[in-house]
Amino acid sequence: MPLPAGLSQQDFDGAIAELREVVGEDWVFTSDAHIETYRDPYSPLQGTDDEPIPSAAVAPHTVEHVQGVLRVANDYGIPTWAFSTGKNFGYGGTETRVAGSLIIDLKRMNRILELNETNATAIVEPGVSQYELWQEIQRRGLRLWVDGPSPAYSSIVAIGLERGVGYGLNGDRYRALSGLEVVLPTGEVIRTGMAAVEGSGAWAQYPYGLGPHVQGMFSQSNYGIVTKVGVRLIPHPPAFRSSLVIAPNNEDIVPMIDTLRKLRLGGAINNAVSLGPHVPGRDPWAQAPIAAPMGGPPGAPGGPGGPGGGPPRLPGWSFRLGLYGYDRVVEANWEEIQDEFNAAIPGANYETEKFLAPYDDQDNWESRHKMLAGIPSFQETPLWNHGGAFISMVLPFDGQAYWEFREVYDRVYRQYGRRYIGGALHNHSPWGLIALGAAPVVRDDPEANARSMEMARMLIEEAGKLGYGEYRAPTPFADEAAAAYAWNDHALMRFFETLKDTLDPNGILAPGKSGIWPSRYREDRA
Amino acid sequence: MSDLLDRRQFLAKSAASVSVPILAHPLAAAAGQVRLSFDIIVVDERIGANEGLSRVARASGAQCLSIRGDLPRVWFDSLRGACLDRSTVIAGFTSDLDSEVMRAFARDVGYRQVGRLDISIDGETGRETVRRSMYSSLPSEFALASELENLVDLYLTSSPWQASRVAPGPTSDRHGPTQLAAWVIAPIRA
Ligand SMILES: Cc1cc2nc3c(=O)[nH]c(=O)nc-3n(C[C@H](O)[C@H](O)[C@H](O)COP(=O)(O)OP(=O)(O)OC[C@H]3O[C@@H](n4cnc5c(N)ncnc54)[C@H](O)[C@@H]3O)c2cc1C
Repeated sequence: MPLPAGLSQQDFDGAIAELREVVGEDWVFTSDAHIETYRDPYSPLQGTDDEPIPSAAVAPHTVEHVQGVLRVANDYGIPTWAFSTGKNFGYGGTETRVAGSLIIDLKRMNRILELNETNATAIVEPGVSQYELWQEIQRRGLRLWVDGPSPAYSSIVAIGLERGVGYGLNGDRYRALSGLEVVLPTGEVIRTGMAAVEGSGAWAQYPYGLGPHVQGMFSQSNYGIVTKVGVRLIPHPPAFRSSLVIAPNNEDIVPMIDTLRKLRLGGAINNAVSLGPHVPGRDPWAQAPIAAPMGGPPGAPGGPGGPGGGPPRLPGWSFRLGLYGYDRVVEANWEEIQDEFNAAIPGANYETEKFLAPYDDQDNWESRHKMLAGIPSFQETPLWNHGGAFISMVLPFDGQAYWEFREVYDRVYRQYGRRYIGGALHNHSPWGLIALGAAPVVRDDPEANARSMEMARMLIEEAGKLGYGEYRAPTPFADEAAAAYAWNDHALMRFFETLKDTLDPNGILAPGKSGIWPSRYREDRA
Repeated sequence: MSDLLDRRQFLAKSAASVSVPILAHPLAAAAGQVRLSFDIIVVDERIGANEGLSRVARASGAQCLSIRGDLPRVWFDSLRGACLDRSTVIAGFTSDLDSEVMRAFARDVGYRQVGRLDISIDGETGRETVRRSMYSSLPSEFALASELENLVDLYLTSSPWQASRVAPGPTSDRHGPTQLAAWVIAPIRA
């Protein structure tokens, strides 16, 4: 495995010996067999000379361990990268930017430190997955939902820091975080928001605290390693209605978005809605034809043509809607919502089911209901049979704007022999949409993956011309994604770099994360 | 190294290269004469549950677990615990993504994927293509990977779609290929 740049084998061995003293013999991994497990199977760089293979991995168990690891990294100048559960498929997995990096795997820091049913809050460490928190809630018999994203294995901390998407009332996962404990690259530990109050009695209640609100600085960043977070949960509502709203035609997406915006901004719909191409007769969540939006096989929706060479069949659209609250309010909203869609979209139709508390049977619900309620599951993406890097743009919540964006994406896809018929559209807040596309990654096919990288870059560039940028960038495309944020000659990036150089003078933590390079790398790259 | 072979070539090639044929004939295992090295076989039944496979698993002492598309739940509820003794060997027939999720779960408990085969079954002809990857030079891992190949062979030859020539999977996908990954994870001994 490659050594960190500029380090001799002797120095590297010295660093490894020190790391073993910090975390214990069993928790430093250097063998090829171990390092292999940290390679991202969905990296477009896989198998090429550019794939940044790590030099070693270390699994700390305590905050003191994390401090010790960073001390060694600073002493030897070793680049590091922290992962919470390390399953960031589609956005980089456990890939780093720099070959020879030391992986800091936080999987052993998996304690649930506090779980409060009355306030619907918890304090957790980074290795706690959505499913494990839910498991603990069940074990204690609490009436709470987690409302995480679909991968039940994902880390509460990481998905929040990466500003990922869920599907229920707390769909904007960053906003579910309140109060961080962070180890800075120099080893100093700080707490943000109310967590900074000595003996904090309101850690997860209010993220801002006093003075500048710095929590956001540690999201999608390389300014610190987060070791604890306060997290907001959802108390079981008295009633919950789970519905599928279906529009029959592909062009219906325009009125669907516009009607949805009105209902979201007006407060009738509160969940983080996710729209997707709808294939009649199939629940898009239970059996989503994932290949289709990414450019499916001949004859499939979005495929290059029907079996006889006919035009592609473009599907209609649907989204899952969750309504939560008092039964009569839920029912009244549901009536209004149907009226609005019936007026806007001829042939709109619905599938719906209502549940009333107590939800003793929730574990047996279909996955589509579970994901709206916030019961972690992974069933709605069952037959995902290919890799890909998500290229996901933030758009205004506007049907026409999306239609124009879609044409631009489709033009690029076509250049690469594919179709873009619209991937998932996340409505994380009432004010915006995140439009997902994906550059396919083929196992052991560097040529195909090189073409995909080219396509991804073109998608980023073309979306940039429309004034759009990514909400979250797959690790290998971080520089291109960051380059779109270019206003005033990249003033924002200069600000990021100033912070980086101040907080991490040796440039050891996640160099290149979100396109932010420490000075020593900037000089090399210039 | 991976290669793309049709099943017949694949079998011919693997027969020539497998030095220790652990499962000399699948029927031997079916008759309970051979113990598989897999303690648990995970199957995503939506991609193609296979009676033959379950029978062989049962007869050879392996536990057959259906994940019904929710691998994380099965992992956290039972598989993770089973791996804590650091001797349990788990094989699986799942989607590609679940095979990668499993690879990451395996890492969490000091395991790794030691063998993997990607199987594609044509929706119209039922013809299979098998592509294998990740072969270890460690004898113990190589043996497990070889055993997985035999299990895949059994899976393919005893599957119902062999008779009907219709690929498994959701009805509306019948014209597209059905793809699944067969894999085996074992403790890292390095
Ligand atoms: C089929 C499929 C479905 C998906 N569905 C969703 C979805 O519904 N919603 C969604 O948001 N995503 C989704 N994803 C994307 C992604 O796979 C998940 O977000 C994933 O769970 C994140 O992985 P993780 O929690 O293990 O994060 P990790 O891999 O642990 O971390 C991701 C990144 O966060 C940073 N980080 C992690 N921990 C820390 C820390 N403690 N301190 C500082 N920085 C840290 C690091 O930069 C790291 O690279 C999906 C992907 C696929 C393939």
